[in-house]
Amino acid sequence: MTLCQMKPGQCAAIERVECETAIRARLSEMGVTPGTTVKLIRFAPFGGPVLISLRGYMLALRKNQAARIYVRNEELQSAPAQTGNRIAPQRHCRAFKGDAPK
Amino acid sequence: MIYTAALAGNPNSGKTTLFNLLTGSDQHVGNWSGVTVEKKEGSFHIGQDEIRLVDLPGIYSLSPHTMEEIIARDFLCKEKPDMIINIADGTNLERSLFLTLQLAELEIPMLLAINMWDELKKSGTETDCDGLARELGIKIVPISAKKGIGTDDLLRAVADLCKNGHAGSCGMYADLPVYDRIERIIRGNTARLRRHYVSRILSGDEKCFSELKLTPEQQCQIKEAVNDFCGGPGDSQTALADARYKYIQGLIRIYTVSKHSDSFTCAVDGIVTNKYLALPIFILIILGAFLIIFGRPGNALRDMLSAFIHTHIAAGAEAALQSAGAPDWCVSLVSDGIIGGVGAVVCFLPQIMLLFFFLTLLEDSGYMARAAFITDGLMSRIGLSGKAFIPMLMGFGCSVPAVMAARTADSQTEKQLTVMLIPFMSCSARMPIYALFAGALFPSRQGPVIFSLYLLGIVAAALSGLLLKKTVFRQSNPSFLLELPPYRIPEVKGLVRHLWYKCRDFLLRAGTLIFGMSIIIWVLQSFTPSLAPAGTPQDSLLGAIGRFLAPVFAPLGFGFWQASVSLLAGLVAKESVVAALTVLCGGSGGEALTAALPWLFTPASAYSFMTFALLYTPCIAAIGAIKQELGSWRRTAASVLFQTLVAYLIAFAVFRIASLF
Repeated sequence: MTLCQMKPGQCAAIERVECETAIRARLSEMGVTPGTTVKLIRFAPFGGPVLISLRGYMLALRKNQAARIYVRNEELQSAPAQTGNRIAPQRHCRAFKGDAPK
Repeated sequence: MIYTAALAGNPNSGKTTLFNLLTGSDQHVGNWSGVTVEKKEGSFHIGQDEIRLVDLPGIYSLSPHTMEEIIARDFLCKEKPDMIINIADGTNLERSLFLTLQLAELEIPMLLAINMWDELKKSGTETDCDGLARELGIKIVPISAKKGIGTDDLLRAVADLCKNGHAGSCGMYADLPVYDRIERIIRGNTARLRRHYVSRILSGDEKCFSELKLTPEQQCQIKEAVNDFCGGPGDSQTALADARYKYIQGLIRIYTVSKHSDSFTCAVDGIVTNKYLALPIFILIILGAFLIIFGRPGNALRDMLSAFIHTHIAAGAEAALQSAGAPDWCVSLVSDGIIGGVGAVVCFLPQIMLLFFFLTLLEDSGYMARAAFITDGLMSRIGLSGKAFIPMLMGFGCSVPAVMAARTADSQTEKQLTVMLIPFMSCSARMPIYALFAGALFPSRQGPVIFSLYLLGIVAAALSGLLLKKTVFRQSNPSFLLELPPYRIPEVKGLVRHLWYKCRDFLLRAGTLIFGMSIIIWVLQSFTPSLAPAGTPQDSLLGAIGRFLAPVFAPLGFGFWQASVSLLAGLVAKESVVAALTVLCGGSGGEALTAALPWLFTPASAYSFMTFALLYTPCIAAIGAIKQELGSWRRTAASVLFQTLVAYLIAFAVFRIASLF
């Protein structure tokens, strides 16, 4: 499914970005790359842009571009604990901006 | 010793706050040469050394997509500063590190300041700065620029960089054999910045092929290496960004752990960008601001300043000159021409400053981005972006700060289009014209008539926008990517300093451009074509020009010289239109003018006159601001001509249609 087809509050992982080269490059520099976990926060009124949360910040992009970004559903899971310098395991979706306070 | 440091970081990372913190009042604001992007330079001292700090524009990456990125990269590569101070917003370190990795390839000593450290701590996020520093090969200093935390550590780190600075390096390249491969190919072509050049090649920057003077064989080998990297002919730029982020993700996973998200921002956004509440809240905020700035409080300030200028400055100057025995024309030149002309514009300073204050407050708090987000749906239908909404809205108050606010546009063409359309938003100075004519010729329908004019302005802007977008400003595909930063309380000192710079700019422009124009217009008003003193306005040069132009307006229904002279006077300030009409038609003004107008205008021609006044070129203060934003007189002239042409055509159509009734 595409980014546009997600529901507000839903998390997903980006599969592929099929926008034009220039925009795809720009998006990738902003962190929109395959494998990235994103969360759809909301759609703007009047058919406007869509707001997503990724990599610790919020990004708005127009629907015509969001329609070319394909995602697949991702279940909430905690990353396995690793040895070494790790401080603590990191949960993915919960750490996003856009979460309502629990 | 004097060192040059470049301050680089993402937008919304607190760069300006840090810049102000370090340089204090010792800073200088100008423009990067040839472009309308603001350049800030300042300096501070550490011991015996002076550090010249250059504030680069906020950028997300060094790839040359936007003007800001090109400026930043050119400065770093060509001017070769002694060090880079990279600032990152700690609450979104992941994205910020993307730029950090690119900066580290420039072989310039650098350090990373992680800002908003206090917010990070409060949210429970832990970051292993030392570990990260070791991994990236650069010093990392946690700071809070707003609260002044970590400043000493930062200064110490900067001093260290001066003495024994070294550029960063990181373990990413070990996993990217393409770097080694291409570096080997271009080894002979350049001694330094090899890694940076490889990044540029992978980003599809063809220009560096010629910069490096590569042979066709080398180019072939490189293309092969790039293809192998992408796993086939593909988009190497995206693949590179992908690789960088994978590396950064690993870093984040190892060296940080985040616990809570920013619930304040989410909660507020839940209300402010809510499907139903967004627009009403937005309208309330704007309405509130307008009522203060262009309603009673703002107007009171303007009238006070105007009274002060007339009774004290003008009268004082008159008295001084007369007692010094200056000739009459000299007194008139200074009192009516210069002080009158410049004073009329300076009176607006309080309101313009209030408007800037409001706009800066919106921007720094983070609400501006929300406003663009909410309105983009509507704006993109007429070829503009949500970022242009607030500047255009401000145009209903005054075009001058509105045009300056258009700076936030995505691209130069976006900005130019916005700047050209802003004057169609009927500024508050045009209101007295409508009030006068509506009162004189449409006494029972004043409200609807005036409202229809405002609406006409909006429609004209929308249609012109669509037209220009399809012809002159055709862009292949405008991208709209907007970061919505967390809500933050604006920093007061920075706000005040920002206002002071805008104020100074405005006064400077008033002192030069408007000063000159006022003198010219005074000369035109005071002398006859044979350069004798003019007794009445009709005998003056201005009157002669008015009479010459009058037939041009005949198709619009007001082909008499009083109308054209008044419209010319409107070049100085739109209020002058009413003032000129008063002098030319009504004698003592007020009642006399209202009674005199129906003799000259019919309802149809009155409406067409108001339409023309609504749409034609703005006052010289606005023209000056437009020139500053567009950067050249040619584009400014194009803008002015466009507006006047649209005004003429629409007023003509309006007159013809209205005459049918």
